[in-house]
Amino acid sequence: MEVFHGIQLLDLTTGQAASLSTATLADFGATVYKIERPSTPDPARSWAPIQQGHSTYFTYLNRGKRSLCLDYTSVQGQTILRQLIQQSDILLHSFSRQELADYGLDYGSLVPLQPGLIHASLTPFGQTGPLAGKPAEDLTLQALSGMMDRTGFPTGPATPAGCRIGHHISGAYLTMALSLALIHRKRTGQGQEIDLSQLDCLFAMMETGPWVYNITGEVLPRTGNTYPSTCPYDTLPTKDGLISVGISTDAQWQTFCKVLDQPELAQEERYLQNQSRGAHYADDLRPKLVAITQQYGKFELEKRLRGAKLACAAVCTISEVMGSQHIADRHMLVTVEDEGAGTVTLPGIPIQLTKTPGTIQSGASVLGSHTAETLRQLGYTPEELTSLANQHIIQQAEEVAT
Amino acid sequence: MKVLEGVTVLDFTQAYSGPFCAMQLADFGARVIKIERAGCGDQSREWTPFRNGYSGYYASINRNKESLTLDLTSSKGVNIVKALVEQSDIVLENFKYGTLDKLGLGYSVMKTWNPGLIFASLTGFGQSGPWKHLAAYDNVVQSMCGMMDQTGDPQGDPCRVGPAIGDSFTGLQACNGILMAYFHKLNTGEGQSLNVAMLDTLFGMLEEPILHKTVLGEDLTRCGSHSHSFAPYDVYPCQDGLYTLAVTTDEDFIRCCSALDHPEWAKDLRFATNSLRLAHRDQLNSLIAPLLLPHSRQVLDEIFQSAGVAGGGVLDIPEVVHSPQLEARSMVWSVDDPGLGLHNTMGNPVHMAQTPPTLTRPSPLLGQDTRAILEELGYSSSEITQLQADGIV
Repeated sequence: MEVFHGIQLLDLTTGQAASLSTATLADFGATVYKIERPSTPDPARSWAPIQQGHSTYFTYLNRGKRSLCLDYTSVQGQTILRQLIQQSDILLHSFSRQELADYGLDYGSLVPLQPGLIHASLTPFGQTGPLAGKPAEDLTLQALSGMMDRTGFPTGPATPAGCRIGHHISGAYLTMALSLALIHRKRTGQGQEIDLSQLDCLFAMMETGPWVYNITGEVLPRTGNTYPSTCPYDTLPTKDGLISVGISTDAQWQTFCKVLDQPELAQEERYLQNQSRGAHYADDLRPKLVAITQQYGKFELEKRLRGAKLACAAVCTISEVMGSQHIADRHMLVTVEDEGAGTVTLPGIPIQLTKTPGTIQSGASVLGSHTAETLRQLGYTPEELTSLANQHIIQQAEEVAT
Repeated sequence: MKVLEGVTVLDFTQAYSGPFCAMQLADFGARVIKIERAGCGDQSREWTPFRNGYSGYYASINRNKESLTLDLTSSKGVNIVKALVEQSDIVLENFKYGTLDKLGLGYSVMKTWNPGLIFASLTGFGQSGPWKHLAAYDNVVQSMCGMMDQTGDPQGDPCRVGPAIGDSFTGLQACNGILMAYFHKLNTGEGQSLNVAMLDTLFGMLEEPILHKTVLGEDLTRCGSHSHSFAPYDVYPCQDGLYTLAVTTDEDFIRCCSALDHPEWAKDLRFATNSLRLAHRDQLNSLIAPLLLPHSRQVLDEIFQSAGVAGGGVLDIPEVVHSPQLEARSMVWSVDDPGLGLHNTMGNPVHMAQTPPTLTRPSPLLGQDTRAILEELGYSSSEITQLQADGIV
């Protein structure tokens, strides 16, 4: 049995962060309705790369979900949504409190309909505090959390991470919150309200910058690819790319010198101990190491160092890592059929449970693909569907196609 | 009632990834018994920053846990583990592949002691594949998964993401796996093993270049402060530092142009759609950048945030730590640590109304709870003293 078999989730969010979380829940068996308004479908439906006129980014974010196209800002739309809420376990949104109240979707109004409801929001800054309700994208959050300040070289500027870490981290925290709420409800019958902030989530993962400042008052400089407490811990050039090494003990340093046939370096007194290597690194030891590493290809050097059990890795391009046997063996690339975009290969599921594994069985649904089916199950007649469609309260997939 | 009240976690992990994972469970009420090597304990006890001779690194990721020191290579140590496993719901480990098996403490053994056990492994490369034996540092994994190649200036070297997200994000995903397995156990009574790898979790964050490769056959590499997908979505110098502006839709762009007092740019044929703006990014940035330069980050916040445009200054660590927003969200927790004394640290961001995360105790001193835990297991005071004398605990 799948982990979330029988759990029904209504997802009113758009964009990336919350969609990542509901994709994970769908991978592990939840029934997820992605609910979009006819006038304002999810902007992610237009995100590159596009295939057959449909976004494959959307496929990645919304695989395995049903698509219901419904104007829940209208009175009739709200009636339909409330009928669905009565049979659902989780309502997920990214509205402000004012918008929630306007749509009649605030927790207090919905509890009488569904006492065990888990009512969750994920917004850039949360529902409280001076920035509540302000817009932010992934880049904004990296800037405001300090992630950018801590990334980059000592002589260069603060640098954004080359992927959307704000969305991934807050999406993972949302999955945690929903799982905890489901566990609590299973044990007590109680639902509850959840208010997640993307900024809070990134801040929680800042590691040493805030710790050092809070404990010693020191403001750390950026350290590029080095790490202050071990040396050499760096990324160095080779003939055909770069290699990262991590030498954490003096014994490993001796092994490193031996593997690279450098007896003079091994004997040099100022390099014998970690702390002293660190003190003489940037202008002294590093240039010597670069002269050595540049004599090798990156994979050739990686093989040589790994042969001596030293921690190292060639800096891989995406193509190189995607082509690796390891990614294949770990099922980290999965090919699915998307309703709109056709065959798409996506990153797989990193959470690997042995008895109840997640699976990505299908791609995303085109807008309104499940509108008619869902309303029929709620008891609406074909005539009522036509009438609702004519009033632009619902939209069905066929109409989009024509 | 706390969500995980009554749930016992036996935590064999050290360093950052595993302890960060276990801390999430502890924040929500699980009893986390941290097994540390007799004598030296978790290696992060040696990691900077220090105060009063105690590690702030360790203190920041081990709150709400108990510490039991144990020599896992001794048969008496294994007996203690067995007694604990019988009473636990979850085991968490981040040893190198195969280490616990060699000690006779692998999942195949532990599940015979406790069939309903959830056994979670958190490693660099997982429990399968040709790299499973490799040692993993954060820089090694960020290099191998493509993350480093994607980060930094295209004219310069690839760059590591500063905070060790290879550890912390993998810890989060392991925690999610554990919670799913626990939910499944509540529903069916079944235990299981699970594994999460740093390489997989970081690789899984790189959907943008992965999709460009699988769908279009394009090789994306790092693009500095730009975005491959949106424009204007960039970092600009301003009067007192750097400012980020992130426009992802055409509606945002119209608001952005109005906020900049140049509504006509929204109608400019070079900039009317996101793809046009991407194609003319340099021209667009050369128009925007001079307008931002004379203003402070605060003034720019007023200009953009009040117009509903995603803008924000690049903050340094003191600015982040003293942010009124994070303070209003109770994200700075004050902890009175037995070694460090009073210090502030990052709280737990999972704001749940009925079952919020709580601070019940600071991080433990090495072996602080050894005696109490052994007494609970039925060891007598003299037996415990003997175990201590033998270096088992």
